[in-house]
Amino acid sequence: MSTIATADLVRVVLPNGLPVLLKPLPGTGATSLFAFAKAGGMLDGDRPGLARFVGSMLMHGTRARSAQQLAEDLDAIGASLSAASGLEITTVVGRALSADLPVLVAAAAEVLLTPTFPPDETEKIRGQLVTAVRVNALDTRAAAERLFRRMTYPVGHPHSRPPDGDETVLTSLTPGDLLAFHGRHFTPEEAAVIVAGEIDGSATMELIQQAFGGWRSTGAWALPRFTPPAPLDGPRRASLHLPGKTQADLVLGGPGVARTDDRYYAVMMANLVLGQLGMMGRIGESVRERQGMAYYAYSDLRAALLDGPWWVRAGVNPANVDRAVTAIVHEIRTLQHDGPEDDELTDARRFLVGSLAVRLETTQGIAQALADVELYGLGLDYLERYPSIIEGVSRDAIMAAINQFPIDGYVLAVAAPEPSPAADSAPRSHPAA
Amino acid sequence: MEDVHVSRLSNGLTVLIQEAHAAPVAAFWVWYRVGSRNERPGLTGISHWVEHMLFKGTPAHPPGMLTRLVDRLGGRWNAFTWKDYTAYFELLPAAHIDVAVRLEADRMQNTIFDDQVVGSERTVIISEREGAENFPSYSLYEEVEALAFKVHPYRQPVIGWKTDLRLITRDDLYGHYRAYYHPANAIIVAVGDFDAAHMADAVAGAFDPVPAGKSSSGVRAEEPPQEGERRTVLRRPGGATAYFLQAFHTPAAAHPDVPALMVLSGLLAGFRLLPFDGGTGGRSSRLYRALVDGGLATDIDVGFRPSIDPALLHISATVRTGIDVAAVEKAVDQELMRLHHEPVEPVELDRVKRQAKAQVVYLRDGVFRRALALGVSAVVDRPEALSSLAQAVDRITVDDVTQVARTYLVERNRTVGWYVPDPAGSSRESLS
Repeated sequence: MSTIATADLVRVVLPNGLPVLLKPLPGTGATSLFAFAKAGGMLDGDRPGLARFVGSMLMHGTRARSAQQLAEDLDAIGASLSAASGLEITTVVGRALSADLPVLVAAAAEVLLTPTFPPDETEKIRGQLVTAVRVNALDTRAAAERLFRRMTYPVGHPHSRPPDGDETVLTSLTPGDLLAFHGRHFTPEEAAVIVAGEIDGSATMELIQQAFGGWRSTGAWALPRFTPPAPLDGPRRASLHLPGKTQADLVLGGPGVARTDDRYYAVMMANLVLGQLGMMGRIGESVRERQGMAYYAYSDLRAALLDGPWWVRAGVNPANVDRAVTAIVHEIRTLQHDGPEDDELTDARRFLVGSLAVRLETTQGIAQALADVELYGLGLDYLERYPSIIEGVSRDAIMAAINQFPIDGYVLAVAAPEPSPAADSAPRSHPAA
Repeated sequence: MEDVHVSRLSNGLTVLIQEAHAAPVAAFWVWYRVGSRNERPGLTGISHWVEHMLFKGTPAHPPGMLTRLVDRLGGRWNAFTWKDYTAYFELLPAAHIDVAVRLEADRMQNTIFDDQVVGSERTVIISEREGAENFPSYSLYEEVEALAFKVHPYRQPVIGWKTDLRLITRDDLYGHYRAYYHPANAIIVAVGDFDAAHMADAVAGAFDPVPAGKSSSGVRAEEPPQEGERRTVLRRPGGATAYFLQAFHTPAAAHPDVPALMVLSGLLAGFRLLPFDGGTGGRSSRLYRALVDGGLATDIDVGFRPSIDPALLHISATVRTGIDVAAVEKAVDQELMRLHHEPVEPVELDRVKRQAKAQVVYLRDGVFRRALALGVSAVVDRPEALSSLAQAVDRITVDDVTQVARTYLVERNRTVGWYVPDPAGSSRESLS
């Protein structure tokens, strides 16, 4: 079986509660580091963009080094290191030659443990984040997603918010706010460090112990609970018109499941058939291949710590929005009514099992896969068990999962060019077809 | 690169094979020497469209079968078209890589060009183009390319002008396919967890029977030297901030100045062995410091992609909101003048060389990128180019950098583009 052996996979929990996973891969000459802390936009409270600001600042000054010094030290050995905060976690990801691993580990520990949020760097990053928010506001794909989130999730739910933050929040946050967020939420029990590559296991563990052992715990915490979206009794549709655009982008769907949900594998396989496998599954086959309406038309399941969206996304000519929506809805209803063909399920199973080796092609791929193992508590033998997990998902479970797509109460968000002057330019609100 | 077996079949097909046993996977690539460089006005975008058609099936692999074949094995496959080439790849569990070999040999010669499918794909490609048009930075790139080249087909967008996409016929596409898809115009690259001799046999078995085909006529157009700065300002709604793009004519991939230009690009924005990569360095580079750390831009990039014919080195920046694009241009100018007048510090040069050396090692991590690097080097230059390039970069001196800066990064050789958002348009937003 094409999976990575767990024989030399090491997991140790440091005395401060930090899990460390190591996977030696001789012959690559390189090492990849993946560290995460469960601190992201879900902890923003009423200040959307706070975690994103914190994540963007981690590389910009630590107790030991200025942003410039850190950049020079990493560039001098051809290493890379970057930090970013998403909705749920903050990641610190890097790569270095094997001989330079001590430099990479030390730098990763510094940015995760001891960022200082210097005022001058804060102002630079603020300018970058505000520019990104404004750029995304006029990006049809990002704008359709933002509209979808607002329509689908209740106020206060992390998925209801723009992933890039709120401009008024970003302009008002102080270095003290950033420091406080970091101090409160970055704690070793809710984090992990993974290294894969050409390494000596015990020497690397010692290195990590030295660099991360001083990380003081602020206490483990439970994942916050959020009010789930209420089911809709009918489709809801909204459009946003942007100037200077040619193509319309649409998002159609509803809430999905969390990665840790019992139904996850069935929903993931249902999604493969619906909008992933081959040329973007049944959605792509209809909207792109048969009807030639879109360059991209696919479905995606955002299952992570929280139950993110399950959505279909497509970019079409503005004249084809209604036709594309009709085709998408038809494909979902057909799949829900008739179920997948046996061949489709066989293809999905074979794809998932076979693709494991492909996903683990690089040290970065392996580090990422091990990060998922740790983040979702999948168990060290997960990659070996994976084929049997996939084989064990029944057709009935997949059928039930397909019928979970809220086709009678979906949300449709469209970001389109401004209508031409001849067309009706009044704001529109109407039920979807 | 070490241990690359280079051979040539009797029908002219070039074959590069390298064993890599760190993971049980293999990558198989076919590179065709055809891209927008080979297109005539009125037929722009045809190479990219043919690429799409190669996913539509053959008599032996009817529509839908090709993708099922790869999916069932857990593989990844795709293709892309650029100015100099069209490249197809499969990444598979190594035990199944023979499937890719047979699939590629089949679609090299037997792809079906059905009228109805061509019609349906026309609107797919127009949709792809319209998606790109939504981004002002893409439109600015198209403007600058078209202005920087007066004569050479590098002036044409790879995706094609929309008017051409509306008119290209099924027979145009089939003729293009026949002209360029044959062994003598292709390079195979296979890297993975297999026995090289077995792979060589598999390639020979699948591709030997493919007729050699007629050699296609080369590109005769030669861009005359630029004799003064060219400038364009694109104004339209749809953007939240300004973009800056500057392009300098540079020599072809095989020219001896190319390694120094790569180092120069590394000093400005971080070294990049592969043009597709984000690079490893960057935050200590000169333009990052001047523009991003300087609060003028939110990101910067230097794109230098060695090409078959003389092409361009691009410097681009996303201007921070509230900043005048002229201030970005002035700061870039100052950095370029520094390169003209002050020798680069040896420590700075060493930093770029270390980045280059590390990236050569990183190529050993995984088979996909290694095969990509071999293929792109072979198609724009020669199969050995990747390995000699890495050595040449290490020999670059401070004087070499100054010399190429003074030769190429000069006012008369540049085309400058600004995108400035139309303020009248940015407020016309209606939400229901």
